[in-house]
Amino acid sequence: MERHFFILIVLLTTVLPAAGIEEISRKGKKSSILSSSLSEVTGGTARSTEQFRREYPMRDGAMVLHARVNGKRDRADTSADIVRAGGIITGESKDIIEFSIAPDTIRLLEGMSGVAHIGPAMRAIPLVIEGENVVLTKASNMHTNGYDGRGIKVGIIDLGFYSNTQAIAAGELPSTVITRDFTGTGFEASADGVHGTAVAEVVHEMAPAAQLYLCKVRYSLELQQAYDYCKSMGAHIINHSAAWVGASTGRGDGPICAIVNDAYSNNILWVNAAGNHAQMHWQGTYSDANADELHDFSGTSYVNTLGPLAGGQVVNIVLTWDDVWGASTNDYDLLLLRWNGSAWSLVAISEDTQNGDDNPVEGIVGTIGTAGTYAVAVGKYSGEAKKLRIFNLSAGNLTYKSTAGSVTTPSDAKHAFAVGAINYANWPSGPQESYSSLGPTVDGRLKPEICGVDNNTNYMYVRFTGTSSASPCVAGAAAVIWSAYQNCAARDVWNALIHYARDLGPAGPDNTYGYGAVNIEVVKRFAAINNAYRGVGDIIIDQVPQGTVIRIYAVSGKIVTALRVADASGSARWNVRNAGGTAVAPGVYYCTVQEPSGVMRTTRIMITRSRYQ
Amino acid sequence: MRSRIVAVLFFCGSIAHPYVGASALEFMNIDMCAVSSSFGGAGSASSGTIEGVYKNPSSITGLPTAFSVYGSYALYVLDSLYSGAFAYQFENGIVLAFGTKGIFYNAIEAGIPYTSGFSTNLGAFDLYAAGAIALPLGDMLSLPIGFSVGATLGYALEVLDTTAIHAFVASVGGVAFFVERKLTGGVTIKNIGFGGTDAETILPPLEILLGAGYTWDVIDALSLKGLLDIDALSFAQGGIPTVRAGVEVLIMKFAAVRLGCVYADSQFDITAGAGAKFSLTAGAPFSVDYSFSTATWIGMRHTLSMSYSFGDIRGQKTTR
Repeated sequence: MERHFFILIVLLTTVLPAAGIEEISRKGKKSSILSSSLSEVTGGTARSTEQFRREYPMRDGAMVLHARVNGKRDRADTSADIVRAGGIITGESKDIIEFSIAPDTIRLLEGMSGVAHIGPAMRAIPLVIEGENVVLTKASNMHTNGYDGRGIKVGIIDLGFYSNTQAIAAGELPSTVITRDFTGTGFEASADGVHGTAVAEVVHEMAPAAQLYLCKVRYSLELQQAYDYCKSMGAHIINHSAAWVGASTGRGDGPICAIVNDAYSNNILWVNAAGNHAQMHWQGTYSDANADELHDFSGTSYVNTLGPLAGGQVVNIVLTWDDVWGASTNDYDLLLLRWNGSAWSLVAISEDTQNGDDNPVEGIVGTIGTAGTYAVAVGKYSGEAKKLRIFNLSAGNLTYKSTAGSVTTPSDAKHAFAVGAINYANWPSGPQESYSSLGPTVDGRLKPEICGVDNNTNYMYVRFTGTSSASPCVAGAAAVIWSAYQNCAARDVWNALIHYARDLGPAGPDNTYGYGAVNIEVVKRFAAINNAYRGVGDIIIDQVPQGTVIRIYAVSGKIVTALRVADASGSARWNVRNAGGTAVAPGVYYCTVQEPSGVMRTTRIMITRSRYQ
Repeated sequence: MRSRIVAVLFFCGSIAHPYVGASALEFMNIDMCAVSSSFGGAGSASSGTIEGVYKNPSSITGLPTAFSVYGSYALYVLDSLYSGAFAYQFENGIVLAFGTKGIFYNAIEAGIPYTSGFSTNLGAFDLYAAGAIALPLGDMLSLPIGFSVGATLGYALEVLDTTAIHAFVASVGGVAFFVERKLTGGVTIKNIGFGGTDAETILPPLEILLGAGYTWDVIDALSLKGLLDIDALSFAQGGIPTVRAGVEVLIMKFAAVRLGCVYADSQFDITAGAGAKFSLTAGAPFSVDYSFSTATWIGMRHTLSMSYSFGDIRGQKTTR
C-alpha cells in the first residue's frame, strides 16, 4: 500500500539553520511585515534551488509570496510598490496580492507601507494515502436504475493531473473531461503527480455520466480562481481532496473556508477530504505552571518530541490557536528543538507578531541538518491562554497527540461536506482508518459528515488510500443522487447523503464516522416533486406508471396545467409553464398524481427563481 | 351602460395574467372564513360581516356593535390556514378594520428526505395584512338606495425557502341594497397591485367578482339566504367563469345550516357547514361556524371560525 500525504505549506515557515542556536533566547521580538520564515532568505543564507523548491512555493526560480494589505492603502498602490521592488504580480483577491520575486530582493519589501504581512503563498497538499466503492456504496444499483450522474457537473480541484491523457486512453476517465490549469506549470506536469487524476477516476467510477471539470491549482489564489471557474460552469459539486493546514483556526474561518461556504451559498456541494492527520495532531489549552513562557505538554515537560530525525529529513510543523482569524491579539511562537545530550537547544523558531491584525498561526518547515532527537515547543509571547493545535505534517511522530479535533481545513468549514475514510475491507462495520481525521471542530461542530471508501483499486495508484480517495467516492455518490433529483438543491443532496448513511459506531452521528458510511438508496417513493425548483430545466415527476395523470394547481385550487404519462418511461416532465405556455410565477403549487389504478396522491412543488438561478 | 361594464371588464382582463399560474400570491384568493366557505365561497354581496376584510371590503359595514373580532383556522389540503381580524365601527357607521391571514405549509413526505437541525428545509409561508375602511354611503347621505363602499390596502408576503415575494395590494368593493335590504348586489375588485422578488416583477392575482344575495324571512323563526358570486374576469378573458353559490337556513336566529357549491375548471365541488350564534350579552353576538369542502382534486378542507361583537350597539341597517 502506498501512502501519500500532500500537505499544505503554511503561511509562515522557517528554515532550519545549518548550525543550531544552542540556547533559547526569545526576548526582544522584532516587529516586521516579513514573515519570520523568510529570515533565512533575507539574511542571505546560500541555498540551492532544490532546497528553495522543497521549502518554499516557487515559480520560475522566483519565490511566490502573498502580501496582505492592511486596508489603509489602495491595493493598486501596494502592487505598484511590489513591482518597483522587482516583483511580478500574479494574482489579486480581496486583501491578498500574490506575486513572485527573486529571493535576493525580498529584503526590499521590508517597511513597505500599507502591508500587514508578507509571507510564502499558502499551498495545498492532496490527501492521498490510494474500486470497490461502486458496489459497496450501492452506486451500482443506482446505475442499474439509470442514475449515473447524468446532467450533473462535478468540479475536481486538485494539485496534479499527470497521466490524465493516459487515464483517458485507458478508459479510466471519459474523453469529455474539461481541463484547466491555473498554475501555469502545465496541466499534466509530471512533477505535480497523479493525485488529481486518481481522484477523478474515483468520481468517474461512481458517477460515470457526470461531466467532470479538472482544475489544477497550487496556491490559494488559484483555488479561488478554480472555484470561480467551476461556479461559472454551473458545477453542482466540487471535490477537493486536499487540506490547507494552518489556513484557519479550526473554526471554519479564514479565506479557504470562505470559498467553501460561498460555494454552498451558490448551491454547490463542496465535498472535502477530512484529512489524514489523526495521528499527526495535538491540541490542548496553553498551560504554564512554572511560568517559563513555554506550554507544558505534561506536568514535567514543555516539549512534544518528534523522535529521532536523520539529516535531510523534512520537518513541517504548524501551530494555530483559537483566536480571531486576521485579528489575533494573542502572540504565540513555535519552536523546534534538538536534544544536545544534556538540554534542548533551539534550532528554529517561528515568531511572527500577532498584535491585532495578524493570523493566529505559526509554522516551521525545513530540512534537518544535524541528525538527532527533535521536539517542538510552544511559547507565549503575550496574550491569554488559548486552545492550541499542532499539526506535524512530515517527519517524526509526536509523543503527545490527540486524534480528536484533527479535521483539517477546509473540512472544518460549516458548509464543507467532510469525508472520513474506511478501508473497503472494513466497510461493513469499520473501524475508520487510523489516520482519518476526526472532529469536532474547535467550535464544537460535528465532523466529518460521512465516511467514504478508501484503499480502492485504482488505475493510478493500484490502491488508492486516504481520505483523498474517500472524498471523491462521496462526491460521486452525491452526483448520482443529484442526477436522480435534477431539480433539488445542494442541501437536499447533503441531507440525502446523511439520511441514508449507514450508521456506524455509537448510535447516531459522531465525530468519528459522522453520520456513517455513505450508502446510496434507490428511493421508492415518488420523488423529485416537493423539491425547491430553481428555475433551470424541467421538473421531473418520477416513478409514475404509464397512464398517470398529473395535475398542477395554484394554491388557491385553480388548475394550472395537466400532464399525462403517455409511455412506459415512468416519468413525466413539467416545463414549469401553465396550460397557455406562460412560465408560472414563483409560488407553491399543489400537484396531484392520479395513477391508472386509482391511487391518488397530493403533494407540493415550490417554484423559486431568484437565488440559485 | 352595459357596454361600459363590458369594456371595463375587458380592460381588467387585459392587465391581468391571461392564464392561471402566471401571477403570484395565489393564496390571496383562498377563502379563509367558515361562513363564506360553506356558501361555496360566495360573499361579494354580503354585509355586516367582518370577513369582508378579505373579500368585499364594503361588507364590513353594518356590524352590530362598535367592536368586532374574528379568527379562523383551517386544514387546507396539506396545510394550515389562519386568519384574524379586528374592526371598529363609528357611530356614523364608518368601519375601520385590520385583518391578517396566512398559510403555513406543513412538512410532507417527499422522495428526498429532510432532517431537522440542519436548516429550515423548504420553509414556506404566506402572510397578508391589510387595513380596511368602509362607508355606508347610502345611509350617510340618506339616499333612497342603500349602498356601502369600502377599500383595503394591504401587504402580502410569500416566503419560498430562500426567495421572498413582496407585494402591495388593494381591493375595492361596493354593495347595494334593495327591497328593504333583502336583495343585495355586490362587486369586488381584488388584489390590485404590484410586487415581485429580487429577481423579477410579479403581479398579484387580480379578481373581479360580481355577487348577488337574497334573504327571505319565511317565518319569524326561519329565514333563508342565498348568495351567488361569478368570476367576471375569467368571463372577460373568454374563459368559463368560476361560479360560487350557497344557501343558508337560519333557525330561531340561532342555528344555521349551509350548503354550497363551486363550479370551476369543469369541476364541481360541494361545500357545507353549520354555525351557531349566541348573545353573551344583549346585542353582542358570539358566533361559531364550521365548514368543509370536498375540493375534489386537491383534497379536503375543514374550517372553523369564530367571531364576537361587543361594545356599544350600532344601528344595524344592513342584512347579513
